[in-house]
Amino acid sequence: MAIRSEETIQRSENPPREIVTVKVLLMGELKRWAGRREVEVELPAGSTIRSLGEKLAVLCGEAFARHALTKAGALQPHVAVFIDGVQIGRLEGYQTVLTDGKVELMLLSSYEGG
Amino acid sequence: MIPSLKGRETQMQTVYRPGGKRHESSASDWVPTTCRMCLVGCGVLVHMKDHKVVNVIGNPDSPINRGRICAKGKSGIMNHYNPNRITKPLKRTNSEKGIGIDPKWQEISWEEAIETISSKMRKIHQEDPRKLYLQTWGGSQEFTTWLGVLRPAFGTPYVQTGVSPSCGKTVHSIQFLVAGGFHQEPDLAHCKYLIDCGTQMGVATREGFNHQVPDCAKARERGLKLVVVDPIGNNAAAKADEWLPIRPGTDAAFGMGMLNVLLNEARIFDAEYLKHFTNAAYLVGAKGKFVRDPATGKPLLYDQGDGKVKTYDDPTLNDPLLEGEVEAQGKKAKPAFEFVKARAAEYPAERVEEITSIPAKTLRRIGREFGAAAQIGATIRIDGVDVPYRPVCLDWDRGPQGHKHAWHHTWALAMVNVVLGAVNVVGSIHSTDSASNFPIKKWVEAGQDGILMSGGSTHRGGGHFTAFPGRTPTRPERWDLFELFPVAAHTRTLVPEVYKDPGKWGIDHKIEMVIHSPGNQVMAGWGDVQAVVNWYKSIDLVVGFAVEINETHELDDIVLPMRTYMEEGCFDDSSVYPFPAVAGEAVGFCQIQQGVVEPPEGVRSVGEVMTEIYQRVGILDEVYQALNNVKGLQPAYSLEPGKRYSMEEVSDRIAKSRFGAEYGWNWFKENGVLVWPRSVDERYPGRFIKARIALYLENFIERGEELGAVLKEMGLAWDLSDYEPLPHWRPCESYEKMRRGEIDAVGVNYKLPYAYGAHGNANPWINELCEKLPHSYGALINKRLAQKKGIKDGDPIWLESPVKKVRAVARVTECVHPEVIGIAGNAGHWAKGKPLSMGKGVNFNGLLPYGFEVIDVISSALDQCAPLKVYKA
Repeated sequence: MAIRSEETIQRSENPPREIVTVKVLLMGELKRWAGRREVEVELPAGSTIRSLGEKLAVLCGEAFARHALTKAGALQPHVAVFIDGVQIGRLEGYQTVLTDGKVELMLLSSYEGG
Repeated sequence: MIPSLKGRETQMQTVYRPGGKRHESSASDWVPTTCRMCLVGCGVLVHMKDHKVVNVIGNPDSPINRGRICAKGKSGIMNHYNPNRITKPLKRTNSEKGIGIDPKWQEISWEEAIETISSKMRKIHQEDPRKLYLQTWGGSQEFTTWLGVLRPAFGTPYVQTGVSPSCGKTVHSIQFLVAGGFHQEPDLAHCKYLIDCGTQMGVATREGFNHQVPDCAKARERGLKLVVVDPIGNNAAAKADEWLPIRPGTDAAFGMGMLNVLLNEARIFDAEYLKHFTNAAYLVGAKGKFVRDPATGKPLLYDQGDGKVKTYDDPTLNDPLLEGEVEAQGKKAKPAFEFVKARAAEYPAERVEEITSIPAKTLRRIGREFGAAAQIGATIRIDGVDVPYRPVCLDWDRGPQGHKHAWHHTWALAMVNVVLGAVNVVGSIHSTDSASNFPIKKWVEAGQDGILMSGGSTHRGGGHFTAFPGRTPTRPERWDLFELFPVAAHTRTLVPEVYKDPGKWGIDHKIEMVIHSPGNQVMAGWGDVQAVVNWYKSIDLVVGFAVEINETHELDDIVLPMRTYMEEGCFDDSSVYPFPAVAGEAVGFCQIQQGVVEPPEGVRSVGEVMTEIYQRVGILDEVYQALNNVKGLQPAYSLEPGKRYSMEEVSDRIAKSRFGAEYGWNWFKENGVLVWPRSVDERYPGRFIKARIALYLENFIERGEELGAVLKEMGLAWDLSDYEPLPHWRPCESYEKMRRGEIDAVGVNYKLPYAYGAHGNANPWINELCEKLPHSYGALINKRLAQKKGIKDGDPIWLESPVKKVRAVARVTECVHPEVIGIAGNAGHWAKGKPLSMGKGVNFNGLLPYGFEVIDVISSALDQCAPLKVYKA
């Protein structure tokens, strides 16, 4: 799995310069708002999940941004993010670092529970 | 073993289950499973004899109930052996629908039922997934899993997980804001002063009354002071040191009055906590907005240490100013805490007495006692770690949520805990699942402006909609107008209201199909039943899963028989998802629901039926894909495209993914419950969470402004004054009507320990209890009001609301506020499929006016104050 903690990155003397290719799979309403089922994003290796919002805003359009991103351009808390099948809360949350290679992300919108 | 289990092996405890091991061939045995007679999901042991259920007792190894069982749980046997049970799919043959209209059911084959449903769903999937509406509450966790998954896999936004129009309206949003978890409960192991506002603790409080009752009893022996604030002198009030009967819909005034006593009169607050763990020190400038650093946009604080203005995350920040006024960005600014104090000052005890009817001197005394008991600054050593000790808790739940201004009522109460630093620490209120290291590591984190941003329970795969930072409002596309409620968790309350005139809102699609669980939406989901029925009548195909035919099923086009919880096996990790029900000192646990008896021939599991439908619709692979992620299935246990699995196989894969290969479905079937210790940071995460709590909701100003612009564009004029950063009390309509003398009383609903929701009293044992305890089917009326109206105990009376007039039996008592009529449970059934409960008691929701004017503009909670005229029949 091409993931490691930000701490590891900071400790590294030679931070990776490679590109990480992130395939983002959009489920449910996110797919409808984006008008597509998946997008591919290229980020400098070492980027965090937090930096993904900006790219998605451009690739997925205004309706997606309005519903899925905060005013500041970050993913809304109600958008659940899974990296290669693991929810980011089990990793380092929005600080989870995407290292080199290929990563598959799934984004889905929450249930409205309670 | 999965990585997360490493190092935990010695801590894992398999638990002993009385009655010996289960053997299929055994003639007599005890089987561990989960009760499903209400939402809690207590661990139970079912006694089997000759393949029949003969007894149900509480499972002592289940942390959620520790061997206790309530009357509902005991009477689960009678629900299982239900003479009114349906066992074959039914089709409606009468095209006319309405209250009391015979559907003229006709038995059909599973093939016909499944093909009819699949073909409609296929059409909707091709046209517009939003035409499908799902209701998942009640019966079994299978509905949440197999219907809930359609949100990501099918694309419908409509997954209604609850029934009640106040359920979870603010409690989850506020828990996410102040503590990062889903629900709340007091740390009774250490609490010394507990104020309960409308929780009905010990009866129906959220997920754990069967452990809260003994915990509270022990705490009282230890000296805990219990104060109950409630219009009804309920079970908790009967055990309390003090019962404060409060006028309905005035909780915000009580909360603000408490804050005024604490902050302005007694000056008791946790300054260090407020400075470093909340946004109370953020400087507020023009129009109530934070003063921000021009370069980064981050909010600024004034550091008294070096006299400089800094961003909230400046590493040199030492001693933020909490009180006073400074200059920042060339203008005067005050810390947000000054505004909190100023708002509280608008609620002196005398004003609060006028609003709430709670005497000023009582409020002052309680406020000071509560503040003193908080022991600001104290710590306690737990497992060798010094953690803050704040043994006070103001708990609230359903009562304060059920109002026109629900957000402000509940936010005011929540703030009382926050200013004392009494959140998620020893003795305080707790989020039930805000931090976890095992079996899933999840800690909430800081987001925008350094504020705690939580999107759901630690174990809740799907997450949740939150109030911070909120969403950008837009013209609505949805039937629940979700887009016009930018900080609400869910807005299903609006659906029948929108149906009155969908064109007004610009909704461009029709709800063509509903699939629902046995939760009784028609009786309990909204108010004015006729308005609800009108919406159901407009739907092309309504499909309901049923054990027996309730009022909602009477509007169905197809009814599918389902298994009872004693027949249904699934890895119902109810302790992990979605309702981890213990907090504070408790251990972590996971327990399952398993079938203990064979279902009647041909009655299939929900999962099997829905899987068959998804395959025919052509979405099964997407369903698997979503489940693999949401359920956290490890690669070795993933559901693979193109394959079909039995429900046992699915359960096994989920269990092994969560706990490792040796803890599969068979292990859980044998042992029932898995428990493990929790570390001190999981039990008391308050100061371990690296984020600030948004005490001052600046984002509400911006969301309100944006919403105002959208509404203006739509030609609508809503009163958006509730969109402000701090709580305020505003009267609901019933309150005003009482003031004007237009009504005699406000109808208030309360719960019974032995009946649950709108489907309890059809059970013969529960019915027997309700008949023997006469308040159950009666209407509580205060002695003074009864005298004034010439009503005596046992008299038949009329309760007349603007939408319905019902006959009831008066139960004269002093255990109800003098301006209130107390109505228990949700009875008054009319469905012929529930003959035992027909015509008994009162359907409370049916008395509630329903419409936009009685719905909270922030949370969409329906006001559950029923304006009533009361007179002898």
